[in-house]
Amino acid sequence: MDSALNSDLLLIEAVSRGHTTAAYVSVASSQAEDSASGAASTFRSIQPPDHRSEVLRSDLGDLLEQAENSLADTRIAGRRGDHDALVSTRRELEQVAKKLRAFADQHG
Amino acid sequence: MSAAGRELWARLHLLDRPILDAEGIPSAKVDDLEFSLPEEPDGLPILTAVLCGNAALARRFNRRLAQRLELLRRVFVPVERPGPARIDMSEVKHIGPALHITPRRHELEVATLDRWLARNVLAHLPGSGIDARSDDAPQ
Amino acid sequence: MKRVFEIALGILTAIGGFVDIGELVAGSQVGSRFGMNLAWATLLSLFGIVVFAEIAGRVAAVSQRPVFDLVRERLGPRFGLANLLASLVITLATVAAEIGGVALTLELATSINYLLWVPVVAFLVWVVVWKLNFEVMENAFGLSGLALVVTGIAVWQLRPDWGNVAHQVLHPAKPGTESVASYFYYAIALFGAGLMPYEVFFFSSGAIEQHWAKRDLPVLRANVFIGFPLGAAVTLSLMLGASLVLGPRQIDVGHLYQAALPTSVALGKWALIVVLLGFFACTFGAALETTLACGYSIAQYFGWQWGKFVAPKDDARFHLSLILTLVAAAAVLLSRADPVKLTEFVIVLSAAALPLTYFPVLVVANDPEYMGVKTNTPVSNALGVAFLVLLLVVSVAAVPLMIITKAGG
Repeated sequence: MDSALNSDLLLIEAVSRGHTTAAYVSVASSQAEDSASGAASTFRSIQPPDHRSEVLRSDLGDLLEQAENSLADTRIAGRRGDHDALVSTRRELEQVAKKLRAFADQHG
Repeated sequence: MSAAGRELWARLHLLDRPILDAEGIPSAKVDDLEFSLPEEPDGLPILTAVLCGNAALARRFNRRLAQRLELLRRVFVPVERPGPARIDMSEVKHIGPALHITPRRHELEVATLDRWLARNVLAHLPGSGIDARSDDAPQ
Repeated sequence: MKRVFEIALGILTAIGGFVDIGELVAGSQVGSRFGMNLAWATLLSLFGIVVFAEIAGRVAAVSQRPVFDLVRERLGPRFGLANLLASLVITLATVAAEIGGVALTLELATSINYLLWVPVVAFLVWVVVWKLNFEVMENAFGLSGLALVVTGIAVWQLRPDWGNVAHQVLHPAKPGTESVASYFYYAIALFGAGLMPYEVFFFSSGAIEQHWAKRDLPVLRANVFIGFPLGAAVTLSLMLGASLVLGPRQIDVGHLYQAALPTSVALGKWALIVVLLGFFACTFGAALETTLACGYSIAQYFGWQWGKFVAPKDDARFHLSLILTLVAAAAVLLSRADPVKLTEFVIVLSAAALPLTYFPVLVVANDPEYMGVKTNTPVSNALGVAFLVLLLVVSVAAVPLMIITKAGG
């Protein structure tokens, strides 16, 4: 998940500097989203063993959903070739990535 | 045959060797050998032919498989004679690292499948250069 | 002057020939996860392919037969068939991976889904082999060699700490975040990517054809001793680029676009276009080479005619086997097998099968009946046997490591 978010962030950085082609951005953002959705659905299929895990799972689940939405937004902007929208999803992505990192640091 | 009188170890010097035709082009491999019993009661078997093709090769692995392949071969070859594709020793002109034979490769029995595939399958693809009706070996 | 041009083209061709989808994928993955701490695996595979190519070339020049043509008669039809089947399965999967690579690159260039490109690419490969249009292949490799130089320029532009890079290359260490099993698994993957069975088939068969065309031996040698190392340099550039750009951001390479990202980030839009062109050319050339390798190995076992000058009317079975190879490869891809995962799988399998493909080369190179007085010297035999031992170790470790690490997980 991290990898997908960071890939998109790097991609947007390259876009903002004019270092990419439209087709490349379109495909790259779609593939970033694809790679994340695999990880997320695996996570969702796991049954939590106890209450504490359930809470954790619920929190992480929310975060993952946010991440997925951000990745989807990036993909949509990328497919449309919408430069400005792409750069604005950057904020979203950065925030979610930060939260995910904090969660990982907190819960190991 | 220039190798007459020279002692050859069938397995080392003959089997699995390439067969080159009149133009020196690879045509087949020596997949198996055909021996005939001589007239004298204690004479050694005489090498009468080289056998080629999947049916011949299969004989060295598995009898059953070989029989099935021989049957399959008859689908493509008008049945004159049972058994795998054969090159008579009279057509072998030189035995060295490879076997050199006098006929051209497309005239050989073992080439029948190849010619069939050329005329009936590949000829239908554009730009093949194969004349589907011609029976002659192309140049 | 013409000679210089010929040699230059040969070198560029060898660069493009060394780099295929295996190097693009593995080089980037390894760079991002391990930095340059696995550069030694690529260098080892370079050493291996140079040794392999030299022996195969010598065998071809002296015996006038490609090495694998000799396997059946020297080691028997049973061993020959086992050898053929094993290498055929791997090479067929490689054809699929290379066509997948071409399709993925075309997707990145046009945003048209790669699955739609698969049949188109397979068809194009077929047209080239059907029409015997092999300047296409030479040009593809030559072009890719030239285009992929941009990866080196990108790395230069990124201004790495060269001292640190040298340290990682010369004193490799396993990064703390990775397991020992993963470290060696990826070493094997990189090694396998550089030493795929089809490369030896093709090189030794090609050496025969070039002799028939009366090409000079010096050009062949330049290809091997200059071109291949430059190809390894391209792989190392991809690795270094990934380690500088993707690694620090913890980006795992699972898609081809990520292999091109460092170049794009470092140099911009035109460099991205050039590197994609390089990806296209090297995978297309490799698709041609691997398809031919499948046809050659079958034809050489059964005694059919084979080669770049063999027209459909000369040998129907050879051409039919090429067609079936392409159909099978396309079918594998159209079943939605992930081309990148397929590539990872194929390079490790290649490594596992190396003793089987390498051992006959060593045997034939020592046989005076084929080599006359030019059999291996005791020194080259010592090297050859040592290398064989290494290959056996790699082969035995490959599949267990793949299972333990869940294919690099």
